[in-house]
Amino acid sequence: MEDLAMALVSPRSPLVALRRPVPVPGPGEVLLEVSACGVCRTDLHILDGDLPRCARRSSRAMRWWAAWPPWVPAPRASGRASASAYPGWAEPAATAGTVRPGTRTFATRPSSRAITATAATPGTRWRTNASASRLPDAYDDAHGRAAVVRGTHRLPGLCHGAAGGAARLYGFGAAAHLIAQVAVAEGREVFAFTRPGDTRSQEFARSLGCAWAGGSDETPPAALDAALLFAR
Amino acid sequence: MRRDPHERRAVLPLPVALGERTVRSVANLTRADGEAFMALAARTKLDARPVTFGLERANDALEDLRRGAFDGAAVLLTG
Repeated sequence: MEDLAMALVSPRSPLVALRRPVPVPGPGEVLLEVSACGVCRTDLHILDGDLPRCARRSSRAMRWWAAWPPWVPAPRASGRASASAYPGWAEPAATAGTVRPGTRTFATRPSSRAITATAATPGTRWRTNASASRLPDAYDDAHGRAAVVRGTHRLPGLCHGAAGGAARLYGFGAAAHLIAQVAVAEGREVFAFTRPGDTRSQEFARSLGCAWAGGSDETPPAALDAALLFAR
Repeated sequence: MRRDPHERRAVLPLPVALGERTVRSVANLTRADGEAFMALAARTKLDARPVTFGLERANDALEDLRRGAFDGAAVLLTG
């Protein structure tokens, strides 16, 4: 039985498809099937060679099957979860010896995966700081993955940057379109700044309830007390 | 001539000196942050807009992301 991995062999080159044997779980390990994998701008940085340290670490987690982290209760056979590499990056146990020497991988961080448990045994073994959370039932894998990969680690920023109840978002991409919904649901007034002239994203922002959307070169209808900036 | 290092502080315009600001960078999260977000996502139905690609089309997803070709989030599906 084989799985597919898209691997970054060298920076600034396209990913390469690799067919590799599915790892065999060791004693006390659980195999998880990855069903959806988020793509974010960090992946572009890895692809461009801006984050060699991350690339090197993620290469050690390269596989579409993974072991269940020990602090997560053993899942039921039908359980779905979203795994996150934060805090820390995945350091799979030695049994994850499926990475070919010299290869580097893309989108292999456990943070990028929605996973489906296919088997569970007690006493799992996993040497990593990765964490996992159960996906709410209301989300299928793709939607859950999209929400989690972009939303989760921006939430503290929103809480911090939205003093006074208002939320001002500079940049309106994958993360902001979720954060905006959170802020709107909380009754906050949201301004969205996009790239100059990006009327499509501005309309998108308004469709999600933003009170104002305009280019980053425009003056909003009210002065900003705080803003959340999405770095690129 | 050496300048007194405190001299520069003295010439800050008053509105700047009094208008305190805080800059915070958020790049990591705690496990509690993840749990809090999941609870919030269960409470508030978020309208995520995944743009899906098959895993083998990861290069297309990356290129579209780089070009800003879509709103929402790119998601690779393995099935």
